[in-house]
Amino acid sequence: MSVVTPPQAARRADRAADGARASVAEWLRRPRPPLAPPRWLAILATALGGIALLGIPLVNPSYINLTVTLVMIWTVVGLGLNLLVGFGGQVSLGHSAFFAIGAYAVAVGGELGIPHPATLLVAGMLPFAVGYVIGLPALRLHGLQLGLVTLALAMATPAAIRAFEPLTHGSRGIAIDADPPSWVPLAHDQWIYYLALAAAVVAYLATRRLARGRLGRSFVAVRDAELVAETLGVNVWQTKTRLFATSAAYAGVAGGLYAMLLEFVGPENFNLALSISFVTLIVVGGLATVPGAVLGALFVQYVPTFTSSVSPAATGAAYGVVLIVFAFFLPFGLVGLARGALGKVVDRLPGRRG
Amino acid sequence: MTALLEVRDVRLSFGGLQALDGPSLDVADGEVVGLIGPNGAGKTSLFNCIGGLYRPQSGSIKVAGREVTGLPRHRIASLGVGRTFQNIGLLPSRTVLENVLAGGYHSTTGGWWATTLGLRRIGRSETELSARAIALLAELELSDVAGRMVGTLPFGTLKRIELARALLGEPRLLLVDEPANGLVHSEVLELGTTLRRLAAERGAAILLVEHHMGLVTSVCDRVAVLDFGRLIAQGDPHEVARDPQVVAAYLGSAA
Ligand SMILES: Nc1ncnc2c1ncn2[C@@H]1O[C@H](COP(=O)(O)OP(=O)(O)OP(=O)(O)O)[C@@H](O)[C@H]1O
Ligand SMILES: [Mg+2]
Repeated sequence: MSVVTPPQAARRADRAADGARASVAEWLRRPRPPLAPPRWLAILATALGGIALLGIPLVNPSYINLTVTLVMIWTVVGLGLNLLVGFGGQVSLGHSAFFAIGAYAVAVGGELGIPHPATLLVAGMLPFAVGYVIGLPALRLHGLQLGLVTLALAMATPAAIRAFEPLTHGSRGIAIDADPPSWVPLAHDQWIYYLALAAAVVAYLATRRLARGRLGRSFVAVRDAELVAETLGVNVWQTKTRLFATSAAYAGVAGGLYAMLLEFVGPENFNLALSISFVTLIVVGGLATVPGAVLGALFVQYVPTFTSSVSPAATGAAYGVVLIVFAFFLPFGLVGLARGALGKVVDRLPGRRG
Repeated sequence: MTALLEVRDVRLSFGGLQALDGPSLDVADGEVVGLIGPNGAGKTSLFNCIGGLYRPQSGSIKVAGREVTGLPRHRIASLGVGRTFQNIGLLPSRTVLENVLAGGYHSTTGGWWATTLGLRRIGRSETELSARAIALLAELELSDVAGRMVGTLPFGTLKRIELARALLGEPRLLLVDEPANGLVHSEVLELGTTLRRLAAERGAAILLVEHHMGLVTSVCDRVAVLDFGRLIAQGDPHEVARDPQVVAAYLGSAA
């Protein structure tokens, strides 16, 4: 069984955890429980964050709103992908495909005359259905095989979009009119910002609930020890397919918002690099953590902007280096780092918790 | 009255190796039965057949009258079967409390929609489950480590955590595989008292695999002995321990 913890290993880990000789690398790699801030701090942080997020689009130029909206869109993808990969342990390199389906649902829906916030629902439901159907056979595969199948999905996406020419207009793409409805006194960038904010908040809360309680424990059991999970009564296969479909739905909604933000979709928006940046996002933010999606989203939005000002090739190199460094030294990502650095301080703060 | 667990002529082989060679065994509600035998006798294999991890080639296993061979594994828990693993089946990246809470999966409800929408009853059920888990941790003297990551704890502690996890699911039939492994003598005696009390208080039947004969004789109502996959003796623990065939089996394995 994959979860065997022989006594020696347990003792060695114990010494590593408690002994003074733990190296920096060990310290970084250690799994840690989430921060447990007192209630007043949680409320204060949420309130300040909320005010800042609501205020940003009213005081900033539209190009700033655009990048912050993108961060929220990546956050939605990351939350869903982390449910699947981080908590559920199922690799997917193919989420750019679901992102594309969501984007095209909005674009094609718009062409058919469906008002655009409503098309966002379709942008979630369609990838859910497709994800479910693909997940049925794919999730019988393990590790590398599942990685390859989903990789193929990502690689085939631009070609598939071109092939469905009558619907997608092939390489010409589709222009979208995503101006706010007449009763909303906002500019386009502000309107999409608030839609994305709403989606990100809903996705964040839903993910946190799913990841925490009874279901969250069942995901981790499926990831770490399938046989144990089944012994505890978890229907492993059903859990995996639902995770896959749910995370596809997150990616779809995000794709729909992306289409509305850019007001254009074309096959080249949805290439393999997009999938890779999704995976980078959850690895950098922190696998199997909920706030990790936010930190990872900030990373994939702003680091490439910075590196491409150095040289066009620097982004790929930066992603490569970062993935390696995180895989070796920070398996729990930036969130793991934050937990290690702040855990003790936060625990000492006075006040009621929970 | 039919027995809670009914094992009949179970045969299981791995290639040419006959791990289980047709043993039959009954366990009644609330009974504590020891399952002993030398290394490789097939004790864990029988547990795995009952839990659905192995599928016997022939024979039948019924829990509360329901045939479990061929049943999907995740359905077996809801028949009231809980177990611990000989080699530990805990989630190393989770805290002790979270591991124990995982044992409440099949006895609680809360589907995807209810959870996503954050329905009241989800919160209530989680609170109630946590309270029970914390009480169980206290009962098994694990309160001190409740917040620790499982990966960092000694083997004997892990075995007790597994026991707590199995108990949280309120099993009618508890399969315990070598719980005394990794414990020092005084802890073994304590474990014996705990197991007896749990069986009495909860009315759970226990099937106990154990090499520590002191624990077996002090805890079990009855003992069954496996050797090379066959049931060679069954009955009162003290009498079985004197049975020449049993003695020979153990000596044979020691030689
Ligand atoms: N998955 C497996 N594949 C092949 N052989 C197996 C497998 N599981 C068990 N066996 C074999 O079946 C026989 C019975 O093993 P089992 O683990 O049931 O013994 P046991 O009575 O639990 O022994 P111990 O006291 O050492 O735990 C052994 O010879 C073992 O090697
Ligand atoms: Mg065994």
